[in-house]
Amino acid sequence: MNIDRLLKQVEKPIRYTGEEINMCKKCLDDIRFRYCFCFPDVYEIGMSHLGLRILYDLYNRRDDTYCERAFAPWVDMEEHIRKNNVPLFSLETKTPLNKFDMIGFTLQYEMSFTNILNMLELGNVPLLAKDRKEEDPFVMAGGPCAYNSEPIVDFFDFIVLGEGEELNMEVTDEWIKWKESGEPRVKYLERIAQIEGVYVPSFYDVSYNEDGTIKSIETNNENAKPILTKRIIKDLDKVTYPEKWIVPYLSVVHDRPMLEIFRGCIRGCRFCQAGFLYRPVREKTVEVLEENAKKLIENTGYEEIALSSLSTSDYRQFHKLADDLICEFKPKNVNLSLPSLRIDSVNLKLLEEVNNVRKSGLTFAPEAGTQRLRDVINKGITEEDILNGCRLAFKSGWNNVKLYFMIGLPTETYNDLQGIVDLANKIVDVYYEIPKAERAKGLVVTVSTSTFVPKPFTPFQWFPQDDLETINAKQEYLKTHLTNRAVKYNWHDSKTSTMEAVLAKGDRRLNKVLLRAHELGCKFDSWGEFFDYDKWLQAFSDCNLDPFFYSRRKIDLEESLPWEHINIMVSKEFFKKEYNNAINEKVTQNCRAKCAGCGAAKFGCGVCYEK
Amino acid sequence: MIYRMKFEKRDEVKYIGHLDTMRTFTRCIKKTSLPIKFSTGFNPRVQLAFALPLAVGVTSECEFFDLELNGDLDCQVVIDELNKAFPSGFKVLTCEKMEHAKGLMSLVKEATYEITIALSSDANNEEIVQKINDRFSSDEIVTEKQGKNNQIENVDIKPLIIECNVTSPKYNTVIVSVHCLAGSAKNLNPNLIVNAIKSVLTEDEVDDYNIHRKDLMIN
Repeated sequence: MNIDRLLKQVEKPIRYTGEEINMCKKCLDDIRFRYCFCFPDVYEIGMSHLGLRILYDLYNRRDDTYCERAFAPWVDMEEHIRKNNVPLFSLETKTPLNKFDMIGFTLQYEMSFTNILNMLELGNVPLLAKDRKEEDPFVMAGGPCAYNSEPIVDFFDFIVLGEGEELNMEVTDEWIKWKESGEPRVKYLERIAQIEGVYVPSFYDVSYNEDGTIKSIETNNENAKPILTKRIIKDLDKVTYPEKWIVPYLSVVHDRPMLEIFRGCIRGCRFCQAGFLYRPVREKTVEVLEENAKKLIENTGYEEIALSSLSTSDYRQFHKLADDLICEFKPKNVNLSLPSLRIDSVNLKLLEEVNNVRKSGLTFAPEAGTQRLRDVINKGITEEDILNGCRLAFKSGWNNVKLYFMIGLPTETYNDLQGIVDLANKIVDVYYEIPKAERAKGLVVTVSTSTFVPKPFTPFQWFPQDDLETINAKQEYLKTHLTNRAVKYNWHDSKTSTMEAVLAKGDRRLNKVLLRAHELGCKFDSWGEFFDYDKWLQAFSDCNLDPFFYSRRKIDLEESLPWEHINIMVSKEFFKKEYNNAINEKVTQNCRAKCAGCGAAKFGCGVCYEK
Repeated sequence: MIYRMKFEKRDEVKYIGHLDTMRTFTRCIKKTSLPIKFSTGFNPRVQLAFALPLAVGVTSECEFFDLELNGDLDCQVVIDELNKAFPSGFKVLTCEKMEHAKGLMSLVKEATYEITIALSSDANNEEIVQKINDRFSSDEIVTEKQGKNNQIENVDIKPLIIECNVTSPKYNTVIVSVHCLAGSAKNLNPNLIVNAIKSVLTEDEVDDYNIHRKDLMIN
């Protein structure tokens, strides 16, 4: 089939053509292992993902391995490839997915799960791992949602837990050895089940109590580890970082190279899964980062480079790094992008310097409207911080402030919602306190709320999520109370968050729901125009399962959780302590101020051992 | 000094739109060691001007861009530097330097397009050549054009065509070569030529159409 003919009929054909600057090309004769990195969303989103960049580079540095890419085809392309019986193919060599030795999906967000099933089907790969035969590829997954992958495990041969720099290479080495041995498929899984961080779901049996809770999770294969521990890289300076950064032809969501400055976060906000999954904090040194940055710009010609981490200002040598990079790049007309920066006078000056004249909006994420609720969620930002930051910003000519909040947080009352309204109004007051001559015209304060989704591996994993009526009523309250002319209110669709919570905390019984949702046509669920709540409810009812058993139930602290066999090196005891601290509105200090004893120190590296 | 480059855009990059091509060139130029002359102002830019934008999906062996560099350089050095940085599919063919240059866009007057029609296996070549010849030799070639707000308009493209040649060099292939007006004043979009051809052929007769810009005359 002539792919070119299909491309003429679709919107944005360059989503499927590859051939970008720095795309890796290899002679297939020299390759022993062919891998396809699959991102279950469109090209523009997938190419904005740092993990793809790191793994693509890592595999392709090996002479014996060729890593290619595939993305979810947009609906127009899907229609054409189905109609013409063209299997979903990789960008690099246009190879169908089922012809690879292994394909790997990244589980970045729960609402991309149905796209994974769709991509497997389009790539002619049997959906269920148990149906795959000797000639089929192995299908693996990693990423943040891999820590509770139970709702989607039936579709994967194995899951990798944690950072991939070493782990993915070990799994690759083992595949090459296994291939040489000529052993049957299951032997490969037995080999890798012995590697720390590799989870082979079919080697575990889950049983349930009559009330639907987990009774036990037991291994059924002697090679499987009863408890699976995530893998991390102890010294980030010692692993490679992508220098041949692919430059997409099309504007992607995040269209600039990312310089990863550290992994993890010292803050410990109690709702934030990333803050616990990636512990402990490990920084790269300024010297290595500057070298990486220089290469990235040399090899791409990009006009901007971004620092990447969960909290930029927590990098200990942040100011030295920023100054050095500005010094290096300013003469070359390369901008420095500084996301998630705490706003104080020094940082504001820095932002002014890197932004030239553009005063794009300043963003604050108080997450909750009152100090009481911010203490519950352990968000270490005070009203004074925000108001001072805004005052400084307004004086320097900013007139656009964005505020992010969550609604439905544990213990939230209407008092806390009123707090959101009050805070927005106080920011407006701060603006008008500044003499007219000293401030920019046309203040806009944007308040955005998302719906709280309790996630596994957080102190809030035991809390229920608000039901739809409650969330809608809260949104309604904000709509009617945020009446100041300078304040704009945006809210997220609460139905998507509702389903996200179910999948986030789900167990193995959800695999059949996922399959049913796929059969009913669910895909691109993170896209408002495609998400179909009623189809999801139907999928649950067809499988005789109550979705809200998973998300709207207050889970007992002693109950076994579906992810009980996964160890992220932050102890359950710590989460319980934090759960109680939350209820008691007690703040826990950040990792650098005082160790809270979460357990991550057992890795023997990072912030736990900083002098 | 202004360097006027002629380049080709082949199959592997033909779906890159005009704006994306400009952005890609800017980045590639920044990757080279050439002495770039940036524009002045708050947002300094590489000074790059293109001739006539090429429609998405069209290949070309005759595209132009002007690039401003500091100093008098050997043209071959400029070509080599750019080709080292360009992704495969784009290639600079020639380079000419000049002190002053009139805007490239205003210099474009005529173009030649080659439309290659891949016929389905049971189509009759001669019959198809005849049908297309008849279509293009009539006094009017009224064809559908997608106008503003996605409305279909009928336009006569005959006045824009200087010469048209239909040949069948090999089995199952027909090539329509059209020499036409091009540029900012009067311009024929090659997709309209394809529309005109489509109107006399049935869907079962054709597998695929490919458009190639063979020549772009600037003076």
